Amino acid sequence: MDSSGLEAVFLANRDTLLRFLRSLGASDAEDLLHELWVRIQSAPTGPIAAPLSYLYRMANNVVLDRHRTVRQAEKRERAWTEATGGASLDRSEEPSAERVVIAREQAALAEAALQSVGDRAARIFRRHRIDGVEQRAVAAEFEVSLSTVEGDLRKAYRAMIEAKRRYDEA
Amino acid sequence: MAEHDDTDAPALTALEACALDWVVRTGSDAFEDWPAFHAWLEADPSHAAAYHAMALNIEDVAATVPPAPVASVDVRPVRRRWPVWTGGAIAASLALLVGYEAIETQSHPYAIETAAGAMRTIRLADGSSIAMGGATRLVLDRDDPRAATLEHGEAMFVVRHDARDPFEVRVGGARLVDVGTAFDVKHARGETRVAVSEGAVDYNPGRDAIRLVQGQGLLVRGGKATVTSVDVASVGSWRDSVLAYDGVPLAEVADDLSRALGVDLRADPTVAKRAFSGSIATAKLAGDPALAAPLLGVAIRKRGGHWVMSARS
Repeated sequence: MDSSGLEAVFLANRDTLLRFLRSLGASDAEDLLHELWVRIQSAPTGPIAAPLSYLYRMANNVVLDRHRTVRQAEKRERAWTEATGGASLDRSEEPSAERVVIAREQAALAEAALQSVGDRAARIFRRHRIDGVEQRAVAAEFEVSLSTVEGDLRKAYRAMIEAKRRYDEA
Repeated sequence: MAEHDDTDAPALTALEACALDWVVRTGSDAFEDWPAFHAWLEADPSHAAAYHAMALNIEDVAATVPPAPVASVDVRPVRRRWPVWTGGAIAASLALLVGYEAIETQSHPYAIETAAGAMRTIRLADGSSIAMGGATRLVLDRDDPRAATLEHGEAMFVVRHDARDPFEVRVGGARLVDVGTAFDVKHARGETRVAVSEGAVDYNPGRDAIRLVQGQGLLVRGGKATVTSVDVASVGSWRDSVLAYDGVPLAEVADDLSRALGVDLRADPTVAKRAFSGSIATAKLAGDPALAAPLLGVAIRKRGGHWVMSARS
């Protein structure tokens, strides 16, 4: 399937994709649908086995990207405030001494949380999350099933999120 | 300081656990049950919010995974808003230094990333330097200082040549090996562009074995490599806040402007493939992509959270 085939699938499922974008909480779903269309135009054209799945995934990514952009902008805003003499905020990107200490603490905590879920889960987490290897490839590499990879990732994420909450509350 | 006592861990709520499960599943390249995910989202409006909160939360904690060995924390001065980059000056705005332990190898790779709108220069121990454009991610290796991987974005390499230990850049599954060199590499939207301003570079030696010399470039699109000619003077000119083009699709220009200005600019289908030749002084745009519209012969409007380049009506 080339990109024109993908375009046909997009057009045939336009309403479904729009509903999907709305269900993801997008108030500007029409805009995002347009963005999805633009992305399809510039997507590398290779064989796509399940075009509708592919479009769902792209739609999901469009919304996730939107959330990331908003968060980045907030972070930049905070960094800017600090750089221009505003109130010192602890989430700034500025590597102040205090921030370095916090980063070290968080790193130690993340490492400890990761170790608590076991060696394989920790290694699978790093391979997928940090090296960016897709889950199927990770499963093949570790010679485990895909559901094992999913289970390990769930454990690792959960342990790290819980550790972060303990830290934030402390 | 964090407490490692045994008070009750703040456990995830049932909804959070559910959201976590969907983040893991939808994050798999094997996931196909999108209708079920869609149905879950539609079941309750709080589900989407929980899903996104969880996804970003996971990204946050994953980013804190410690480097091993511990990477030095970068403390270069930070320039805000308009990092007009000149010569050897360093504008390390929002650069991120992340290290991690490699799994089965002896190597110690670490990533360096720039935010959109930022630029920075990395000096390597051997005197080589790498200038990174905005929204660019490079992976270097402590144990192999003569190699770099460009994951996305654009970087200009000015490397000290050593015939016995040539500098190697990996990009989009291909290898570039220097033969005494200054060259620019860009990897975005699935395409790779190389431009050589000094010396020569070998593309995929042993496989494609294409030698690019000064004034030559390469475009790799859809697995096909095409040798092009480039204007030596404009190679890497983005470092001086000048983007120079010769017959480049507007979709790519939009991409470059996004990285240089720190905005999200896209070309819509009406103009995406239109070719542009000329140069844009990004510093003069003062962060406003709309000012480039007359030069590009298009309309540029804000649409939601991003900018769209479209045909002039």
